[in-house]
Amino acid sequence: MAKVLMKGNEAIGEAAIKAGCLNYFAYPITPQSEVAEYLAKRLPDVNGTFVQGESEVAVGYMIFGAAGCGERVMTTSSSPGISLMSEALSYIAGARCPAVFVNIMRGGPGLGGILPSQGDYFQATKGGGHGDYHLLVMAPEGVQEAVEMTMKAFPLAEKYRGPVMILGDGLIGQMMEPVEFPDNLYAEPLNNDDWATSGMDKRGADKKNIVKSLFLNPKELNDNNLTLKAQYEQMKKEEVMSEAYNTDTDYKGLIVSYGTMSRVCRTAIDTMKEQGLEIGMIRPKTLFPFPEKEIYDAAAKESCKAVISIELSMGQMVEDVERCVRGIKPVEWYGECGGDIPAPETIADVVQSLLN
Amino acid sequence: MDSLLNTERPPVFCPGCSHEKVVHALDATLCRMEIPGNRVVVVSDIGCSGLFDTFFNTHAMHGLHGRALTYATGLKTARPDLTVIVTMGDGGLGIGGAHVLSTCRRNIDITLLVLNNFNYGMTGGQFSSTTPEEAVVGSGFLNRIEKPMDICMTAGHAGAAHVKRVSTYDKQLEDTMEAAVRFKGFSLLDIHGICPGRYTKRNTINPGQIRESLDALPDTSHFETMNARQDYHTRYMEEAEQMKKTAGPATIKPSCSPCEKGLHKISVLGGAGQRIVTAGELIGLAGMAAGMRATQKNDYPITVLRGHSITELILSEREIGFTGTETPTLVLALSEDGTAQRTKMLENLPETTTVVKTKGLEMPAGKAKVMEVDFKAAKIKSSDRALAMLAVLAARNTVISMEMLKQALSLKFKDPILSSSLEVVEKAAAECTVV
Repeated sequence: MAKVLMKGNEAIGEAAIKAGCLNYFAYPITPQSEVAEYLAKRLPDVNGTFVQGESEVAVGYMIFGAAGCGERVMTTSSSPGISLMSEALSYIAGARCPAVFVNIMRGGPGLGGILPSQGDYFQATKGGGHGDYHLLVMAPEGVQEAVEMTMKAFPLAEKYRGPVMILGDGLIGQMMEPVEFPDNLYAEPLNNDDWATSGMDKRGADKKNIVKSLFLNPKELNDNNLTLKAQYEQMKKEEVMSEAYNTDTDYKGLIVSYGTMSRVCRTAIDTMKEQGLEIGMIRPKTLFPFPEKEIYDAAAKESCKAVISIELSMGQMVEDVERCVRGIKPVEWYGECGGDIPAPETIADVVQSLLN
Repeated sequence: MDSLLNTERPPVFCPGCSHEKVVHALDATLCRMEIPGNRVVVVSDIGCSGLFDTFFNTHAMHGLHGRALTYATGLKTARPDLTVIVTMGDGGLGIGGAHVLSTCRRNIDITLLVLNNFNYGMTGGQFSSTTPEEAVVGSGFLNRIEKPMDICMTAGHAGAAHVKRVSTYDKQLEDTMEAAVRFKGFSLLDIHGICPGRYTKRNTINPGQIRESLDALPDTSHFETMNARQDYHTRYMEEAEQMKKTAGPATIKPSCSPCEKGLHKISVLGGAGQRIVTAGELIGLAGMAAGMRATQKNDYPITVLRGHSITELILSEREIGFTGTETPTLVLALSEDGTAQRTKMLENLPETTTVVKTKGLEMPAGKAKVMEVDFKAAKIKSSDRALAMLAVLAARNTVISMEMLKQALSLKFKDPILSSSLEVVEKAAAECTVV
């Protein structure tokens, strides 16, 4: 199959087009600005529209508006920009509109830096905005997976009528890798628009649709939240994705790592294997829903003495890992979050000293 | 056409509220324009004007304070065929100020009805961005300090063409509204009215006074000619039509075989203007043309026209895990800007690394094997040296072959850049001396 060499950011833009997304709103921020630059040129080719909002706050709601009339829509940003969009994310989740948000994470808190980070794990998986909601969060480990996840994100957003987030890091956005765009990931829009602000034609003209997150009646609000809850429970059953690496061995330790960091761990695992130390890894591909059972089962293996969460953050995913391991094995953490990515040798040293 | 008012939910404003008149005027306007309910979306903000969406048998989006114009923009962009009416009070106007200005500049084809009653009615009558300085409101003396905003002048100067003031009590309210909805582009109606629940409790205001104060305000009709232009969508489509189609990403089919198998970690160290990132991309494409896997990472400062420019590549026949190049197998050094950024890495280079550097460049190289290329003697200018260095490598079948490099160039460039690049390659391969 013919491949193209593309920067992650540009590949995400192309993937959105391949997924049939014709509406894109964004505001420039390093290290994801290339998505906007790419789509500014590419969207007109396919009769799509790009509006550069006056701020990420505006962009978040432009997404709300386009999603509210049932059209496929995406934005891309990086950590501080996602903070500004978090308000809109809460409304979009509350009003149950399908939309795709891409966060190419950089360092924080505050302005932090422009180098890769995984410091937005909590924000992406536990909230960000106010209220009882979740995003379906997918975390690619490279450019090819970023493409595939972006293409899958649109039908998933429609299936659950809610926002889906692609959580990458600066390296995935900036790095160039060969990619191919799988035709089989294109899915026709699932919505019959029976809820959207364009839906009257299809439903008999007397019933109007109001897209809103406001439910002043306590029962209505509780029902809306129960609907959201049911969606999240269904995601936990149907959408968990993870990858196991070297787990067919009698590994002494289990790494849990995602995104760019998991690639470093994979190399470290190969090196340790050559030196006679078997280490397994579970790489969550969805961060919400989280691969709870996969991690528990892998930790439960008799040979496994400890579990270590390795992240480009000061210990965020480790809380979920601890929750999944349920105390049957010790859970440790290692991470860096200044922007430098730890080398495989560092990871090997850390793992070896933890196991001794 | 029948009324679009929702009979199950009649307006529930305070007795005497001007908002109710606006509800009926909007209904009458849509009816006489014969726009059916399924072609209209009422987009509301917050506060009492935020209640509008429930009163109409049209589609509606209800959001939050100050943001109504942003989701209206998203909606209109995705569905330009729908009529979008935004209602907002003077509260939302203040909170969403930047959104108002941007919508004026953008000229999105939507209509904004500002239900201006000079205070935050729903929260208890606090001062807003339009409260007169002399008014008595629920915010103590704070409104005496801040100057109220004339939204029409602000909007006109921000680029809105159709900007009108009107009193809720004017006979021509419906005509004014119809003209605004018909206007192709962003239109703003500043509708002055009375808030009996809060504002008139402490201030005297009546339709006559509203008319008088409106008459005293500057005329806005000149904005129609001053800001006359196409609406956003029409203009976008015209521009898109004229734009040259992009080629889309170039696909690469392996067409030759690698000259050196194995894992190559390549670090190219240079400075701004030396086309380092492009050279890196060419290495990646060359590898892919030979069926190898490739990753590329770039490093340059935010100020792109000065300082270092570094690109790091991995070429491998196997899947690439860790993408770091702490210990490169090949270093291409073109300027001190680049080498100074990687001093520690360079000092620790092992015997297995090859360094190819510009002649005369002072740099640490650890135990690496060092080769020097004399670009000056071959008269190759700084901006061509990264490419020339690839030609030198290719001529010696180091990591890339000449065939791989030429494949990469034809994937990356079209004429005339392709032929000028090939000239640089031929010249460098023939004339650069390597020591």
